Amino acid sequence: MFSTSLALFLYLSLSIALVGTVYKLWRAFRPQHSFPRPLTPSPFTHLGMLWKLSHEVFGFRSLLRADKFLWLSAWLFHVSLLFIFFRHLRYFTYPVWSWVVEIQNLGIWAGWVFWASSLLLLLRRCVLPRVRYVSTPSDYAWLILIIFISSSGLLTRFVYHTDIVQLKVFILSLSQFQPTNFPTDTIIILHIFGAGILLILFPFSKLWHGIGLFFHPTRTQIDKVR
Amino acid sequence: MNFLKLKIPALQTDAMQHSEPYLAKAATQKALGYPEQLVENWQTVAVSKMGELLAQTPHLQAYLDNCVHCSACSDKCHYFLGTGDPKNMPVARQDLFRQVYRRYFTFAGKYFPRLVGAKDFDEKVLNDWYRYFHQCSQCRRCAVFCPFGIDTADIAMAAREILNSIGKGQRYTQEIIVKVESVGNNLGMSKPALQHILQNLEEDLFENTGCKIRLPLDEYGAEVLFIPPSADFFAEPHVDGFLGYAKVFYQAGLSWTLCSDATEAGNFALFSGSETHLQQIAARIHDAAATLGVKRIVFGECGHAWRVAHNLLPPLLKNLTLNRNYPVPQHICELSYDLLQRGALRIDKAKNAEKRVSFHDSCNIARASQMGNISGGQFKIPRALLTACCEQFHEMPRNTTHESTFCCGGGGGLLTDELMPLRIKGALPRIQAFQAVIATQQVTHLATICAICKTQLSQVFPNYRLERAQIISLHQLIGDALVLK
Repeated sequence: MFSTSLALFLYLSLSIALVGTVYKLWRAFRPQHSFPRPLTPSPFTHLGMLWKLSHEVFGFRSLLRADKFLWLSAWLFHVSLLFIFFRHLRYFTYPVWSWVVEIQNLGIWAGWVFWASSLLLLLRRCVLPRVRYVSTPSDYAWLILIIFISSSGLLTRFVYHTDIVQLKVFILSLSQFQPTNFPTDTIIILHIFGAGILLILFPFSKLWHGIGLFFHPTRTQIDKVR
Repeated sequence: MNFLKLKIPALQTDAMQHSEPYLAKAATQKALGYPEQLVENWQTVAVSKMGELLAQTPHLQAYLDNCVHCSACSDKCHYFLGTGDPKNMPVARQDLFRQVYRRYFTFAGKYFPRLVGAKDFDEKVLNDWYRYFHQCSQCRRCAVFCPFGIDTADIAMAAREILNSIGKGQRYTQEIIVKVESVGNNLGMSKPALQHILQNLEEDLFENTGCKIRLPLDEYGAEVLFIPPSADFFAEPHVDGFLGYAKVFYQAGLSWTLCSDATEAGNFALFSGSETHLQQIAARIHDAAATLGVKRIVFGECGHAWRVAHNLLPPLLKNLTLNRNYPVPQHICELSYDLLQRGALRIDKAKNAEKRVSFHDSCNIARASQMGNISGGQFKIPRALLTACCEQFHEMPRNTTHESTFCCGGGGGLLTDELMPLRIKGALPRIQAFQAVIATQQVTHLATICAICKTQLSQVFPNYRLERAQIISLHQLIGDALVLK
């Protein structure tokens, strides 16, 4: 019964995330009825723009110029998140891809870095007056949710181990729409639940920034009007 | 010195709450097709106007959705650095708009307003809008540093257009739009007045140079239609730059003309956020070129005018038979640079020997347009011209020039007397940078290529123990160095 409910919750959150993503993409692709407004100097070719944009996406170049401390925390936060995602692939693939096996240790380290950098971001938000002034309750709530998911993940790995085989069987069974039993350990249940909430809110919140960036004329429009 | 250490002020809540521009008069609003005064159901009208703008410009919605409140922009605004008012932090300024957007256009804002900081569009919020969206010069410096490039200028334009549409237009900008649309320039100068001014200037030119340098008006069949900002006809130091353009045309042997229906490069509808008037004012340039049968269109030294000319005008000029061997439209700096490279200008640097010059990049040229069809040409070309006509050129600290340039403090439709305290405070970072090169390089003059920068800086300089005459037009320096005989 519990496993079925959890499965339903996960189906629901994944569906909402997918539908929301499609909706937000549809909205972003609407035509612009106004003059072009690239932020200059901007490249003249789309290839040049991609190159410049890649600096933003992979190196957070503008942020580096703006605020060094924030850049460090945010960059570590996002890179470790990427490795955590890669590491988690082993729960979703069978047989597990060899490169995913290779980076398991790196993924664990990334887990700690991620946890620490989220704390740094929360601390920054609480301490700096200029940041505190613009922070809404949801800004704090996001960081708390992320720290909660990350802590419960680390706890499962290092303190309250769960039956990992049973967990993986459950996850793989989701794709057959015949959910098996979920492990009964509280921490892993909370971890999965938190991740589900994150999925649901992803398209409708500021978490969308990673995709929204690609629709900002200041970062994507080339300069070739004349 | 390559880096200016900027002092970041402590937050002083509501420090600039008193600063607001005069309201547009009923007749002005009416002439532009807006309500004459604040309409009774303004809240409904404003929200529906916001919906309209979100539909027309999806990127506006993206900017509103994607801010993560990281505050990387918070210390990048000259008005914040000058005033310490937290609502002058770009992110907080955007949030004035965002809180209303969230309340009426997002699920979370409708059902959990407090959680996401959404607010009803009430009178208090409306007053904040009117005050603080008129404390933004739409210079885009914050967008350079935002990790996602969120453009406060775009949000401020949308906010002002919403204010216009509920009857809360800003007097200065709206009156100028009326004048340019009815008379042909921002200052409302008629053709006879203009003829008189040009005649006097021609006499001055003859007296000073001994050359018959003409300032033609409405001459059919001239090669170049020249569009200056109207301040260039008489304001100081603008007019000396105007004479500089004329000298360049004279030496190059180019036939040129002004057009009395389009004696204005500026387009204040960019500031007020009105797409309709923006197009309407820009269309005059097309009509003027068609009427006079010119082959080229050249713009004078004006920052936001060049943004409009560069980004919006080209499609409007498509059906004209212009000489496409030159950029359409062309900037006067591009024209002079082209002549310089072809050796068509005889320059004697020694004539500017007593001037030690620095260059102020104007925001709309630096961050919203380009010159010479080379990347970063908007930085290289003016500097190439300056070094060609001055022996002493020194850069201000790098974090205050090029794409990181600080606004003069008077752009975006704020160049009006009642906002003077704000303008003085907003000029602070630019002036600190200028003072830094005065201290280290004994710089005497600050050259620039924007009519608003020239007016603003010459007016606020005395407040910082600088002289008005220290601000100078780039083409004045070129004109002074030309060997005309």
